[in-house]
Amino acid sequence: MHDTKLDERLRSMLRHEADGIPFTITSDELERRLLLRRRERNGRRLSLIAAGLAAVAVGAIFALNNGWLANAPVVGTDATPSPAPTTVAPSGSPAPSAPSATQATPRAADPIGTAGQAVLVTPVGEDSQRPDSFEVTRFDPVTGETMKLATIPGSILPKDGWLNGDRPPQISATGWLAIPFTRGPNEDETSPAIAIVDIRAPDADPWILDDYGRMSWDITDKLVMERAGGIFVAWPMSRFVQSFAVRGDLAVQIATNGNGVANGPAITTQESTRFLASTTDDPTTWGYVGFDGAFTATTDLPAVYQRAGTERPLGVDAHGLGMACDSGGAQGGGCFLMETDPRRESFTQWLDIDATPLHDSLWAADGKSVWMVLGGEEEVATLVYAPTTDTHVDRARITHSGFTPRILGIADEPAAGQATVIAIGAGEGFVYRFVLADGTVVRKDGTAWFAGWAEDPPPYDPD
Amino acid sequence: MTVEALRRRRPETLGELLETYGRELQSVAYLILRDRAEAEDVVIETILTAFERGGDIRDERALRAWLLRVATNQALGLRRRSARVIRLDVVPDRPAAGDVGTDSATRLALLDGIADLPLQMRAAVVLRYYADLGVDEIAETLGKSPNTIKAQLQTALDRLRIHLADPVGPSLGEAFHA
Repeated sequence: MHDTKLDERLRSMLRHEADGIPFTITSDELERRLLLRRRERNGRRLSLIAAGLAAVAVGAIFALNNGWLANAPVVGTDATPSPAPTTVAPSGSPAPSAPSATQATPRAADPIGTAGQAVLVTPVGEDSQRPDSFEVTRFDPVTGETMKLATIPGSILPKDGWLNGDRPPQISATGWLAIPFTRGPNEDETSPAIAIVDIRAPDADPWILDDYGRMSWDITDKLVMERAGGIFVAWPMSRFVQSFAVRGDLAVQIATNGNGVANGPAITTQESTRFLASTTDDPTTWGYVGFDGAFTATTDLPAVYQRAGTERPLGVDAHGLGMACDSGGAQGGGCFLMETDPRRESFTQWLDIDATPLHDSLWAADGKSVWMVLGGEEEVATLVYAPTTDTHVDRARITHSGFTPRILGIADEPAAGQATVIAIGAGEGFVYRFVLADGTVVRKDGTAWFAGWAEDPPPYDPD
Repeated sequence: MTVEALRRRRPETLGELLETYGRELQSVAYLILRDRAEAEDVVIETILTAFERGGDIRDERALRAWLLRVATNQALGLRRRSARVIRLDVVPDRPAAGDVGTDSATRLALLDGIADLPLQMRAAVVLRYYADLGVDEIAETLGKSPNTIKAQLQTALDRLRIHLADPVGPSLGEAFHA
């Protein structure tokens, strides 16, 4: 005979047991895992492609030596970029096409290139504020090759919009390009805006987002933006914007990546974390905000997602690095590059700026040592790696004329003091030099913005 | 709505799948695995698999069955891979002799009994008594014949009845020495 009482008890027990487990999985976590899944697959595919390309490259070098490839771009000190390249689709991806209205073709989610390749955006046309078009290219500093990824019509800027040149475009890992611009009836009544375009479908209508300022792409190709002190997250595929609210009683602000080109919200990669954040009181308390908006204080900060490789707001134990000037007292007066602890109780002097001009500085990947661009000679700067406060290791000499050299991007740092490629340029993001691992300096003419690397640098995770 | 969105592979589909099916999938995975973290992994992998491969599913009922099948097999696969590990931390508390007959003791006894079931039998019980699947659907999910599933469910109930009648069974230490 069927025991209905046992059936009921079983159902009740199972339901009771299951209901007791909280459900905390979020869509963001799903999207993050989806992207990781695809990148793992593409990594395997790229390994196979790379193996094939290596075989082709050997043949190409042989051909070059025999004069068969006379037009191949030259790489080395003071190499000049090749002229207008031919049109080639991003490697590993289908030919870009605008999505049809009746059937949404899944958009390719593979990276737009490989590690160390830079994505450059060049405004083309006589009017620098309203260019005729934007040329998006992928430049390999090691081989010197340039490949065109897309030409975006200048009409993506609305009639009342113009470029003011102080903020560079930023590209996401799979090819969404965010171009900041200014709009308004005149130069006295302006507001910031962002145009988002898909370089895989460059002729599609742009998505214009008004009144948004600093921005960062996150690991799932969503654009995180600031507006009026708040944080907003934009989904380019569905053109949906959502505000992100910080919860709790503490007054907390989301941290930004720093003062460089990549200066948007600092996005974290550790599971269940979303942004670096700090309290607004003094001294500030550092920590992170999770997907649920709650703040957790900690000096063991989660890793920060990087697109440029300069998203390094803090060092180990949440130490800050910046310029400080002292009118007198113990330091004897002067300006210094200073490291401070979160409570500003201890100070470590990295550089006497009055003795040695400093163009730029950045935490190295370990969050303890520092990259610097030092001046001293006229129109010659030195890229320096400082493992300690009293040690400088020269990495490259950089000639500069008409721009103050700043670190725009670092592709990877496989070992202390070793960087595969460093992009150097003006503060507005126009790239002038690439420094390779062996110190070779590759020149660019400063007409293109550095928009990010074709493949993500590793997350910044100071030890 | 979700099936259509899945066919079009729109990005918001992930959120829709999570909202509509996530809780149930987590529950099924948890009841089989008795480990929350693993259950969450199963949910995430199941929904991502649905997003990438579920474009041919014809209707919502078929989608739910498909998701449960994927989640169950993910869970079973996970447990098979970790079968060598003795998971002391998920052994449920055993009720004291004096507690027999109370609701919580009954619940614990049933939980205990379910934990002692072989994996596939446990999965069949969860799919029948939590997810309310029919025998044919459970058979399709687990790749067995309906008769096998009926037999497994009957055996499971018999064993659970014994557990309820005598919930204070051998201690873990005694079981090791048996």
